[in-house]
Amino acid sequence: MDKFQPNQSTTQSEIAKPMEVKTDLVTVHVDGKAVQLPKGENLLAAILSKKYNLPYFCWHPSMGSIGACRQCAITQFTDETQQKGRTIMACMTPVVDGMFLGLEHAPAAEFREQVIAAMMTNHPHDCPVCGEGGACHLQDMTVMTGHSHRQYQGLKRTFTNQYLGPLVNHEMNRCITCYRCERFYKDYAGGKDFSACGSKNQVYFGRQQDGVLESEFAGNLVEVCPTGVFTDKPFAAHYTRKWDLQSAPSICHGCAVGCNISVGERYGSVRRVINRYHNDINGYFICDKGRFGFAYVNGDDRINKISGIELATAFKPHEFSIAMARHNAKTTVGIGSARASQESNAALKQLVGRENFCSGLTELQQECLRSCQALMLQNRQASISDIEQSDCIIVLDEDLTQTSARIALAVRQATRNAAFDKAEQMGIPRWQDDAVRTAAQDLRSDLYLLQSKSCKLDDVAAFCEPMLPEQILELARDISDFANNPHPLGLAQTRTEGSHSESQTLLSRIVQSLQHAKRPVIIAGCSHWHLALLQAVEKLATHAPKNWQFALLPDAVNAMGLVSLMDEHTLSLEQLQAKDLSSSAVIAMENSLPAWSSEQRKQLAEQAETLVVIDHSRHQLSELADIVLPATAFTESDGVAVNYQGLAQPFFAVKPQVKPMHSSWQWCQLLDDVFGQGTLIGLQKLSQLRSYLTDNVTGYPDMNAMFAQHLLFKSARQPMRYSGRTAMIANQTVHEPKNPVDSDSPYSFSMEGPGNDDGYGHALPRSFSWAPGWNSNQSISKYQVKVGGVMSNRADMIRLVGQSEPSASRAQTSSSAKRNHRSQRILGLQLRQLEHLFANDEFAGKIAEFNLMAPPPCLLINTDDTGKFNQGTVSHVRVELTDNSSFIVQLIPCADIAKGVAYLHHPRANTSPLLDLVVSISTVSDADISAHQQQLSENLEQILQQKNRNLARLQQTDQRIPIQIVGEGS
Amino acid sequence: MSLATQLPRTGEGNIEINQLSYRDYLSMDEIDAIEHEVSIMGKRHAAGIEALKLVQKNRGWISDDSLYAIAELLQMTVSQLEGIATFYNLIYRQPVGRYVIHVCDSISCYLTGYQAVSEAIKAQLGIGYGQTTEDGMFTLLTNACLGSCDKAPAMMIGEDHFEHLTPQSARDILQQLQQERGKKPETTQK
Ligand code: SF4
Ligand code: SF4
Ligand code: FES
Ligand code: FES
Repeated sequence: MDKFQPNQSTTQSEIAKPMEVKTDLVTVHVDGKAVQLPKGENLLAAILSKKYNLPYFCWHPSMGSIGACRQCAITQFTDETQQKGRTIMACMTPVVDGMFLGLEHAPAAEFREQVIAAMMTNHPHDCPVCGEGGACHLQDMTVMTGHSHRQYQGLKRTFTNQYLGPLVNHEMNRCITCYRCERFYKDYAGGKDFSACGSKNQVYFGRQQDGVLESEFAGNLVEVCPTGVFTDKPFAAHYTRKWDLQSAPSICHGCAVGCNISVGERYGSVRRVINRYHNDINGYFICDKGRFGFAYVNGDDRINKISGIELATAFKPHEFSIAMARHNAKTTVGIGSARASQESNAALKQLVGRENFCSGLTELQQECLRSCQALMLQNRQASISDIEQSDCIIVLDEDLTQTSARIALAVRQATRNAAFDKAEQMGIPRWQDDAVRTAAQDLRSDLYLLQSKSCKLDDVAAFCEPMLPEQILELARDISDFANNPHPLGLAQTRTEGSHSESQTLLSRIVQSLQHAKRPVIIAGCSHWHLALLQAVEKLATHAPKNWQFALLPDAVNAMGLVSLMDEHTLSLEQLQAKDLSSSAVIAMENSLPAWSSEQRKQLAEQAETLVVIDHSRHQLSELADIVLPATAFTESDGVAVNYQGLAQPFFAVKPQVKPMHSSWQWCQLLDDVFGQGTLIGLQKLSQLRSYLTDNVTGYPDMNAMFAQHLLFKSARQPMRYSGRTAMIANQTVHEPKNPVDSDSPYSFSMEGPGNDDGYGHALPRSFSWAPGWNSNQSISKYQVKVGGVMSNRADMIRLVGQSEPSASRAQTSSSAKRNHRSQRILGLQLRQLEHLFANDEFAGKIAEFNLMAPPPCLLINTDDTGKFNQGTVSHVRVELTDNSSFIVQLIPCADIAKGVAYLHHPRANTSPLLDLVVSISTVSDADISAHQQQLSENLEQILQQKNRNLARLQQTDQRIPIQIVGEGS
Repeated sequence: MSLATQLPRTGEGNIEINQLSYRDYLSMDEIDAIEHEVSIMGKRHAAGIEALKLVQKNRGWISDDSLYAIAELLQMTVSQLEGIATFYNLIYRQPVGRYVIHVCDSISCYLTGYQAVSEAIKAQLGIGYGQTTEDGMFTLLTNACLGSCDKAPAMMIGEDHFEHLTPQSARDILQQLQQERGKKPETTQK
């Protein structure tokens, strides 16, 4: 049995980061006071790190300096008399020993004030209707410079705004021409459809014409832009000022990367998600799935009632137990979930006992995740900042941009390391962004994309030719052989000449890059459940040099947590299916069994004596269940999720539970009375449950110390300016409501408690970021040791690492995974599932904006393979399934897809193992095509209606209060 | 442009997938001339400005279609090329008249009588800045410094510079050009 000793270690890797050049501290005099600043750092960053207030716009801690906005002007005196000097841009000037600087010096202060005055000549009088208002860097900087009177009386320049898709609003008149958006979108994130246009007073930032922003990171414009040009569109449609949002620190549930986010709520609905800085994971940026993918928690599909048992209206645990007792069965089987918290999974396992705990995964999935786990346990999974510092990256058969998008952004940054090295040789500081880029031109660190379809990293890759999955596997094995037995000349010579000369040249190129690299990273993932490949990487890791790092990426937020709970008794879905369930109650917890066909789910419902579904959103299984128990979504729950690296990260509820909804672990606790062994009874508090799980459930990390530290302080979820606390429901009752009590988390549902200024809740993640004078998220620098560095209030992190022996259970079940790849052969084509950020899980389909962003049902093939479809004359084909159903897809021939591979996209793939079900592909008549297109238009109409209905419903719930706040809508 | 990374989106309704080629739009001469510039520049996208100038010379202005075709030919993104096209004020992204008048409104000219000259021109042509006369003869634009500061105020019509302007001299210049109105203006609109 794999028993991990969870190590308490910090998120900072113990291995010194070579890229973080050790900087000497030198003495600099700021306004007459001597301070120690790091030599060579830019003055702005160094001064902000010392917590001075110095206004800026264009500089960004992750993007460096360009000196565009002229806002960070200070005086550099000629000598210690501090009488004479010149105005310099702090962000463009390196720290030099013995400098005398004047921040407060009148000419510089006046210059800064007049820079704002110049911006105000065009900036509209918009604050009341601007989505940025109250959390606006421009407002903050304007106040900071003391510019308090509008001087300009003339006409203002006006622009026409663009439609940029369903996620981001555009209001160009608010632009102050800092160029941050373009530098983020194009230079940092590699977007192709964005640029600065025009000149002089008419500089315009946007697309060439109206249209959806193509980048997966477009949402970051909302935070990168210091003004209200780019705002969050869904948030704007149901708007609340930042000071009226109740917030909580959370973890993105979009994939296994575990980006830190802050969730904001008002009047019972979740309004928005923003980035929550974490130096080692997401930094300042998250992907659009993370930012907008929470919306299902406000959706129509939420389960909010208990069904299948009769209860009086108010939920009473005792009555619940009595009602459930009637459904008791001889045994109880529990199905866990990679999207449920570690507490919920551990509690379920404890409830049903380890013999009756099913992972909810197929054997193939289990084995793939175990490969990821093996590297996690060896502590060889690279963090995002490790990846950013790599000088050679190999990505194997995973389209990171669509599956773990934040990692793709890190990979893109890594390709710049060669440029940074060159700049260093030339004496250019790395923060001199434009100079570094100019010096570098096309110089890039090596990135090999071994893939069967082009992806959005191709533009920075040294190699990206599409190839067959088998060829990728073969290359991975060859690299592994090489690592095992490094041959200085590369492998090309050691092999027989001939047949695969092309792939051999590639191999020797890769091998040479690896040999020269100081910090290579090899990345693969679970999107195609390509087990043989993952195992090849795992093997490669065992004999790879210590400086090689890896990132094997699971598919779901807590997949690594779930795997750590698996032991030799844990049932796979195959084993569950083989089990006689006729006298069993089956509890499916936050798992709709998307790995199963609807037929298999029906069988489960029929065979089980009682099927209990605990979940937050409706699906086929919840419709089939005998009893449905409403669970809270991640925004209403406290829990822990374990990311791909093994970091156990806590997330916290942003709003109180509405009974009868409970967190899944609470349901397990409530059910224990009837279905379990009674061990969970009495553990109503999360802290009690956690200590119990630590002591009794293998794979539940020991987080007592961490949480004890948290719980010493209660900090506020609401800002000090939160309005309407006592009046919110005055239209219903004039009695002041009592604040909901939250005994599970270190946050209160109120404005009371420290935590929003430094010095108190030092162990707490911040629920929102605010500092005096800094209302926007840029206030975060006040809480970092130095800008862009670790948080000064950094919570201790728990990692599930440290043990590397393969588990016994593994050897036993490995052989039973019959397949090593989820794909299907049809018409001589290898059929795979299309990865798409906005369409790759069951919840994406519940979000109107994502449905609009997703591609229509389609089949991507190589242009040369079109001949396989009726001599290449067809635009659509029909895909037929084992259950005699079928659907039509558009045939999209592409040049940049491997010959012999086809990618299928259909929404049904999110709720069933679609590839396993395909039996044939046939032609369709023109009439069918037009009917299909008619259907698509109707679907589109429905999506738009659903979007409006949902918005209307949410606005309706706001009417509980007499105040109506209107933001800019879509 | 790669299709596999630029999939159509459901929100855009039924998608026709057709890929227009620059060959269908640019003439062989234009393509050759642009390729020649590319051979001088080394990097394809570095020929962007020259390509825009070449096509504009033939067609009078840069339409969206011209923009897309050039971007495709130079293997650069449309956005990138648009950034260039709109940055330079001698590249026209809207149809212009036969004579494009750039009146300098920068500091030296401003100090030496730009305003009076400007008013005279507007009155003479009956249009404001950014507009084209109805007969398609004149487009009036500003320009920030024509490098004739020592001979200010100045303006540029087509490729000719006119210096030491007075309201009267400006009117005379325009009148002379207006005489040609009798001739059929070669309209540059496509
Ligand atoms: S749109 Fe925003 S980020 Fe871009 S230049 Fe204008 S103010 Fe700066
Ligand atoms: S990369 Fe993954 S964890 Fe990070 S924001 Fe995107 S979906 Fe969420
Ligand atoms: S922040 Fe220094 S010039 Fe913009
Ligand atoms: S200012 Fe008019 S030509 Fe220089």
